[in-house]
Amino acid sequence: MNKLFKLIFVAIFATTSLFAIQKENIEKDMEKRIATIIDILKQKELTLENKEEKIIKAIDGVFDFRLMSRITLGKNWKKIDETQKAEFIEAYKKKLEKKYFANLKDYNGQEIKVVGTDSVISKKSGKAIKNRLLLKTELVGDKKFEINYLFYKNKKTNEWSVYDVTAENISILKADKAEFSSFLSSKPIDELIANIKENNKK
Amino acid sequence: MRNIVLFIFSLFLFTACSTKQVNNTNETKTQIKTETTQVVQSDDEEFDDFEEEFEEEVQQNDFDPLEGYNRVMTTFNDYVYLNVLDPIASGYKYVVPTPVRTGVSNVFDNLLFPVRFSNNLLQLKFANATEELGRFVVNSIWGIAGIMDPAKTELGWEEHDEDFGQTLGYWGVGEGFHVVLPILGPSNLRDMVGLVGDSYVSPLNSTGQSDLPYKLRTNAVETAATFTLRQVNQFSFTTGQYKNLTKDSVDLYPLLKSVYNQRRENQIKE
Repeated sequence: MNKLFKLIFVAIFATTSLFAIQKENIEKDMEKRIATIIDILKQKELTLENKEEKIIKAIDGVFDFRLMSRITLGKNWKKIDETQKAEFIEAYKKKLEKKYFANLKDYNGQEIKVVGTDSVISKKSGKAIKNRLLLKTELVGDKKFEINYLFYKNKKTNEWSVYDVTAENISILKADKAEFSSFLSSKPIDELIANIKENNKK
Repeated sequence: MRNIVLFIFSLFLFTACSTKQVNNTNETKTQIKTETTQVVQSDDEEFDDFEEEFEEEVQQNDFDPLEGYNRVMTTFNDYVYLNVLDPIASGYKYVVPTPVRTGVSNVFDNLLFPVRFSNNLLQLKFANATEELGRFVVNSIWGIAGIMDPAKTELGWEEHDEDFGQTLGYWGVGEGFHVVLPILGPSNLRDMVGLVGDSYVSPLNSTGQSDLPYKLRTNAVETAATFTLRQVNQFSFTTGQYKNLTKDSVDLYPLLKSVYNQRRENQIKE
């Protein structure tokens, strides 16, 4: 009798462990999204605005915009209230989406290859950071253009999201952080938000 | 009793199967956050990891004695890029076919072999230096004075772009402080020294022509003309990129500084 109970016990735990998150799914998921993006770029009947809208829909769910906003504001994040945070996230999200599309539309019709995954190395220790994943993609054209996505795993929800994108190994978030940090050293956050919103309209 | 237990056990198996299937299709959805569940408070603890990853940028760039001058020069360069260099490069691109421009670029690259070769040696990258030497010989002969790049297309020998600024960085020389050069754009104290060092070795100017027999230019005017041609030709391959990068900027100077520093760091590392 005991043996059987043990068997049941093991069986239940065996099946539950099959639900564990696998990093490999990120690559497949991104490949699907990128394939969708390439299709959208190739459709000549669509206007640029249409393409932008569709591409943003295809890639949006992957990004953790709140975290990205927090990273780029750095120490200034704690100095602003919830309303400002919400406004900033909204504005910055739009800015990133526009930039993402702008980088892609010039390579219309070219192939976007998912090269593979790697670990994210800490500059300080030289070792791989835990719960991080680097997804490498390449825009194949006259010249190869690398776009990499940095994923992190949320410890609470076990979900993987993008927290940074690099173009030719140059981090977009680091560049934005440098900009915002300099801007906010002499001007208020509301002006920054207004500025970003203004640029988004162009 | 035993039968009941077996029955319950088999029930468990079946429910496990069904949830496994559902979960597999949902796995990709739940793994990657959806828009609607986005507003989850990032833990302060979790954020500390990121703070470390992104903090160093700010600390490194704190020492900026020439900020005033740099900002003015950035504005000046921005104007020149957008209103002078870009139109000229676009016009040049329109007139000169891509294979010709590629050929011109290849010729220049080939001529700058001494710079790459010497700097690879100085960084003790002997394998790379050898490959550079091979490239130079193959491209000069079979590539018809460097117009083509058979070393890469036929033999797979990649270019190993090193300059004296990278050499200094490789050996631990810090960047010093940021300096924005007219037309050339962002640089820093170490890389400026690098530019001077490279100009001594490069055949595309007249510096040190009494020591080095392979100098191709004999005076400043020729050097300037050659430099301009190379810049315009190079820029013709990336028209629109500068505008893309900078048009939505809220503060251009720190943006370009960050991009430049990140690029240099990557170049020094490889």
